[in-house]
Amino acid sequence: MGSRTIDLAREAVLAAARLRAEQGLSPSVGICPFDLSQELGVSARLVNYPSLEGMYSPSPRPAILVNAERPAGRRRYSCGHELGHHVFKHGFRLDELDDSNSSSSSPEEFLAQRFSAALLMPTLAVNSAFARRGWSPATAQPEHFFVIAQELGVGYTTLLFHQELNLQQLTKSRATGLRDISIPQIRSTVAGFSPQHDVFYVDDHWLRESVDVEVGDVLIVPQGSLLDGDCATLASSPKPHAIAVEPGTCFITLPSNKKILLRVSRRNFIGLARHRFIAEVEDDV
Amino acid sequence: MNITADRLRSAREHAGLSQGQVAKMLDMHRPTISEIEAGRRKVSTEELTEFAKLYDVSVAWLTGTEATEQNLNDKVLLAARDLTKLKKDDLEKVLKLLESMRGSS
Repeated sequence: MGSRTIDLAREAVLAAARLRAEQGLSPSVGICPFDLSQELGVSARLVNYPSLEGMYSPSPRPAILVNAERPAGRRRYSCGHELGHHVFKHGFRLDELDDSNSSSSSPEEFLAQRFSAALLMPTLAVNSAFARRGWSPATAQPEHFFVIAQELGVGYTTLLFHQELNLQQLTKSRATGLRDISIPQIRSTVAGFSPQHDVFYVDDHWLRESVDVEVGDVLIVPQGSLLDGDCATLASSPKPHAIAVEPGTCFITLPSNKKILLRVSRRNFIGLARHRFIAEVEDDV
Repeated sequence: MNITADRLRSAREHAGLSQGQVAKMLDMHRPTISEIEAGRRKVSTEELTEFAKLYDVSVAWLTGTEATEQNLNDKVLLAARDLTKLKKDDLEKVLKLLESMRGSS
């Protein structure tokens, strides 16, 4: 990295840390960037504009658009990226869909990318997630990285890139090897069966206030966990789990009495992000 | 169909809400929302303000009295100038969405 790039990266990390501190968000816990947008008075919408990855507009009022068809982790990362443009007052920005993994060309795009990484995956949050589970990046298995990526709300490969390129916790060859493992294979390992959609491993190590999932997603929970609402149902085989069945919110109570808020949205919800967990009304169904 | 009724329906759909959800959130009956969106029931100023907040659009846009802001359109088009993969259709949708937010809500 050149010195200009290092300066920009430092600026992004400091800005993300400052924003977390201003908002009273612990640096050791994962956050939802859509919730943060709301707190900052930035309207966030999920849209189905196929060629658009994201957008930030400071006027008429601050607003963010994120492509609803992208995987959940990618949507959150894009939201963090657009929030970066807001924080750095970059003015109107459009980000087109690009799967090439090409590096960001302009300083503004680089800043926004690094801001999102630092906002969603602060060093302390990553280290803490590994440490409290007794895992280490040097020896952890793919499913361990996956479980932590889910808690931080980012994609598995996004976490690996961050740990390799930004945190220097993984060598290139190890990170590449881990990225070669398919996501469906990791999900099957975590769930103990082949789930149709996403999988979350929720236990006493889960520090975030909520687990944000979509209808059809599976949550692996400890035996004896309870739900107090209708947005998910419990099953016991092949291992205890819950399946999100309809939009809404409820609490999961773990056997330890730890309570975690479960928020369920429709799959690839399109609309204002703040409305995505609102329960459907019977009259409409 | 009048412009306000048409835009109320469009704004609700773009906010990701059903008529039933809106009715529940605004403490109204679902058929009332349906009547409003069909243009068969007048909407009070207070109700328009509530809808605008819920859908994150401006009252001016809902009533068809929003001002044109060429400056914003120019900024959007300038930002899109170097993007090779962004489709024209999607750019137009972005412009329409921003248009719905113009004016005081």
